[in-house]
Amino acid sequence: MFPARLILCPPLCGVMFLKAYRSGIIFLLLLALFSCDKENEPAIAPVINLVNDPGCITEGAVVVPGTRMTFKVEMEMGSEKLTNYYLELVSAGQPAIRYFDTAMYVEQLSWTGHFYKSPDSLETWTFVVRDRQGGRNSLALNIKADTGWVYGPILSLNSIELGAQNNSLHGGFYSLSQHEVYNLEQANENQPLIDLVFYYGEDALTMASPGANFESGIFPEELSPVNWEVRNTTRYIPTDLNSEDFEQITNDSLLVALYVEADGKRKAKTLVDGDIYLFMEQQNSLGIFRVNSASGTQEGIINLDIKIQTQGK
Amino acid sequence: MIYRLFGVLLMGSIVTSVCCQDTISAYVLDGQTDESLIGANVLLKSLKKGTSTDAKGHFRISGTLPDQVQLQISYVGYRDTLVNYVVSEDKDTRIRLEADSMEMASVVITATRTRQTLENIPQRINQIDRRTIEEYPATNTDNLLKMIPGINVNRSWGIFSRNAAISMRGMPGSSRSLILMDGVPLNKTAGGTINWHIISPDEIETIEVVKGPGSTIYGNNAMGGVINILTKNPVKKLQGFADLGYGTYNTFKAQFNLRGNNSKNSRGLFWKIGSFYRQGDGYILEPEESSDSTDVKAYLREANANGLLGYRFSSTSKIEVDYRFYKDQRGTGVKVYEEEGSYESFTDNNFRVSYEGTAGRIKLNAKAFYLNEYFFRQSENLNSSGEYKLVDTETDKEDVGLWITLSGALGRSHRLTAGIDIKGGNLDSQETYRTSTDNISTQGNLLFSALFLQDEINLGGGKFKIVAGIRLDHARFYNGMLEVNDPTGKTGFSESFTESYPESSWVQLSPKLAFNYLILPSLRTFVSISSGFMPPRLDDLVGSRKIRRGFKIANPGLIPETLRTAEWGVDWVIKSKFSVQPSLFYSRGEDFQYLVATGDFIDVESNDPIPVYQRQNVTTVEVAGAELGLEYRISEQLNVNAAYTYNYSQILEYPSSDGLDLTSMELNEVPSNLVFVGLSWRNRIVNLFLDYSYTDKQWYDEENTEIIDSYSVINMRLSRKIIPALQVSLDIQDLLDEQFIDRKGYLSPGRFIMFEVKYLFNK
Repeated sequence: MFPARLILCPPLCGVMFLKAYRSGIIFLLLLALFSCDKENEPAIAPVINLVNDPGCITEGAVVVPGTRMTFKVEMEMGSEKLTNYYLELVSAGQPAIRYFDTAMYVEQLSWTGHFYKSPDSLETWTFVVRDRQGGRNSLALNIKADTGWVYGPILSLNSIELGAQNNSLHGGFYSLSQHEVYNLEQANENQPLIDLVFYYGEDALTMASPGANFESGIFPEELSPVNWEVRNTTRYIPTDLNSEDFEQITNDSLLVALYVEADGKRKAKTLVDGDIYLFMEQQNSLGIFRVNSASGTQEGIINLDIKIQTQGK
Repeated sequence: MIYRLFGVLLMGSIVTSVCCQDTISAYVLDGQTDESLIGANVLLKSLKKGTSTDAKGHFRISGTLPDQVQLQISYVGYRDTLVNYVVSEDKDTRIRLEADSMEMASVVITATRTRQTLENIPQRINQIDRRTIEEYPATNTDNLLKMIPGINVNRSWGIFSRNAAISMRGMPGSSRSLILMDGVPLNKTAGGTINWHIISPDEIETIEVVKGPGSTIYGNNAMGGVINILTKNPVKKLQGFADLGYGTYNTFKAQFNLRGNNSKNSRGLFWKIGSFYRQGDGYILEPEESSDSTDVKAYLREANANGLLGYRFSSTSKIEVDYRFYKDQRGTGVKVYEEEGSYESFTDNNFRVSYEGTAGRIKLNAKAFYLNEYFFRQSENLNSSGEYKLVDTETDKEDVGLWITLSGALGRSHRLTAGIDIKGGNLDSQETYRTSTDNISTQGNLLFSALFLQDEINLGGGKFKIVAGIRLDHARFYNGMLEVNDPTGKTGFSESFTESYPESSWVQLSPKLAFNYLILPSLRTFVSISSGFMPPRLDDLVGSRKIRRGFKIANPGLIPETLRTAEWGVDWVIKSKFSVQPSLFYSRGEDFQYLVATGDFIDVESNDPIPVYQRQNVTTVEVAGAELGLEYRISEQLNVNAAYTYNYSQILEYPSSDGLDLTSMELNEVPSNLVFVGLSWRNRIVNLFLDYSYTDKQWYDEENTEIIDSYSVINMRLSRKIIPALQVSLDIQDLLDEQFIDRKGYLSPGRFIMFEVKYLFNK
């Protein structure tokens, strides 16, 4: 039979039990304490502020589309280290676009960034900082487009041929201001003028600029742009445009609308026929190039059409 | 009542004092369960008198006796025991015998869920008894399993390992073996694995290993076999120890364990209480040639506390409540900015309530349990571009269950065992990126319910035995959900979404048929055909995330993989000195789960697209193996045991859609050869245990392209009792200091020395 009577016994014998097993109970109480988490102190959120230095954008600014805007933001930790910073743009009712999603581990951060004002009538920029425990803070700026603006003119440069590093017929260096092609020796002597560098490397046919990193062995060390005193940097953004779109560009409206400085890379890689890239050169002029043809390896050649603002914004 | 028991080595000289018609009376009991041993032989050596115990385990010898005599107690399945008995003081004392794992009459409970002698169970069973556990230089419980043929233990970072991986009989992965502690399943429903750290080797009385599929009795996970860790029972008024240790890598250890039994006339309370703490500075896991400034020592901090309270109503019924707590923090060897660096932490809370009783001729065993494991991982690193990443992962796993077993004799030759098992598991996981906004949550539940029936049929006067059984498991998957919030591309997800997975269920039938023939009391042979299965893991049903080789997506349609095994074995004990245990088996697995490339690719962190994988039931596999266990007891002081394992495994079919053909490939992480040799030598100066183990090379990946080299390890323990209550020991892991590179490319700790002082309580 099941000893149901005896099952009831331990509670009835409580006093005896307490005496005999006092030490055990104390232990279990200690155990319970040990297993409880300490009560967390209230978390202090990080702080984020917009810096109103001269030239920086402030809340409610009215800006001509295509203008290079400068934002300056300072952040400071609350109770935890800052680990993540990003900004989001909402304009023309489109889903938010995130920029500069940055990982870090700092107590404070001072950030300065540049963006081009789009043609959209209202842009809302939100700057967000997050900390180690997910605490966050943000600030938002509303920027309006100046209704009195006009699109800028562009210059078309057609059928520019550049050769890769071992091409003896065509130089691989180009000056957007002089509209000239240079070979390595000539480019080395005219460093401030060089904006585009064409070569064949681990990413196949590549368009870079003197400010980019180059794999060793591409150029002789003594002449390599990595050792130049003046290294202009051009940043490239791939586009989904086709040749017809490219042909229809007659002013800088499309360049201004599409270019996002944060997306710019220092190289346009694995270039093939038909590729179209936006770019911004060292002096902040926006441009766009189309690859008419690209072939070969170290002795390869590329043929480009380029359209570029005639005045930087 | 005051009594004294002394072991074989502590025999003193006999002081003679003569009087008339003295009586020696005592009870002979099982040292672990305190149950009476009926028919144990008692020999009064000096006077050449003898008797045997009655139905209560009691004996009495009368006559003219000296005041101190020496008794020799022997009983099949137990070690012979010599006891010094003081006639004037020790009346009705309790003499407890230790089980002898070499003897075939040794009692085990795991194979059939009922108490059976080993000779009657048609299955390969190994026991690691208390004496062996005390002698072996084990830093963790899983170390002990290396001495069992057919088990591969992977703990390549020693005590600093996050966990041990145990595989049995060529079944890779810890979730293909069922691990029990005092009969409660420790495998988590969420991931199938167990946390080997929650129990210290010093708390263990016996480990029973039942090899081959055991799902007919146990259901989930019992494919390669079942390992039951039985903790020490409180059998005396007060027993236990307190222990301090210090060793390599500034490792410190403190532990205590006390247990007591206040039962009188088989009624009363018993209890256990214990705790351990261990910490160590650790070592650098990364080999020097690939190390960088973020590599730091993989440290360790861990603590356990446990308590048990029980009440025995009679010699056949008792109730127990058991609680166990464990928490650790283990550095993973990388530190960038966070004070603690990258680390992992487990917090376990295990509750168990069990009842054993009888109703007429029927025995009842019921266990209710609740297991909770909270896992936290802080992971920080710099990628090849120098970009910092900090991710917190939290996983909460719960298992709750009720197992009820009834057993009883039916007629003369049948013993029926039947039961109901119900177990539910829950997974709630969250991955939070601190250096971006990504947050991924998963959750899911599995509920298992099962009925089983087993008949043990004794024929031929007990010489021939048939065991037939069947079990029906039903499982239901529900509440499956994946939620992705604010992804940035670092996790492989491009937009926020919530996906609920459809409910599903499956049924699994696990039959078994086995025959045992006891040729001689010391020789038996058996054959069996058994079945096992591993249910899908919740993590595979609902979890989608980046993994080492690509991106894994959930598969809520997974079903269990199954295994059928045919086995033949022999147990032969020669003159109680030499035992031989050969086994041969062949297993065939269906619906084996493999990570299969779906043919899709996704972009993660703007790098090159990575392949998408999904765990699917795609393969048929076979494993053939041979095992040999040997033990030679040269004397009571000198013992040698050896284990050899051979496994041959391959994938028979792999109908994949991704063009990858794994047919004929070997199963990964299954070494072909395993060898273990252990030597135990007890002597007056110092006790020695020396062991050598060899692990053959094995494939790391399913495609059989990356190999893990073979390695050997020699361990040693020297121990000595300074006084009866004080023991010192010196453990040396990897005596020859031969560091090896593990399957993840990390270093083993090399020679690891631990010095310990242990104070023993025994009243």
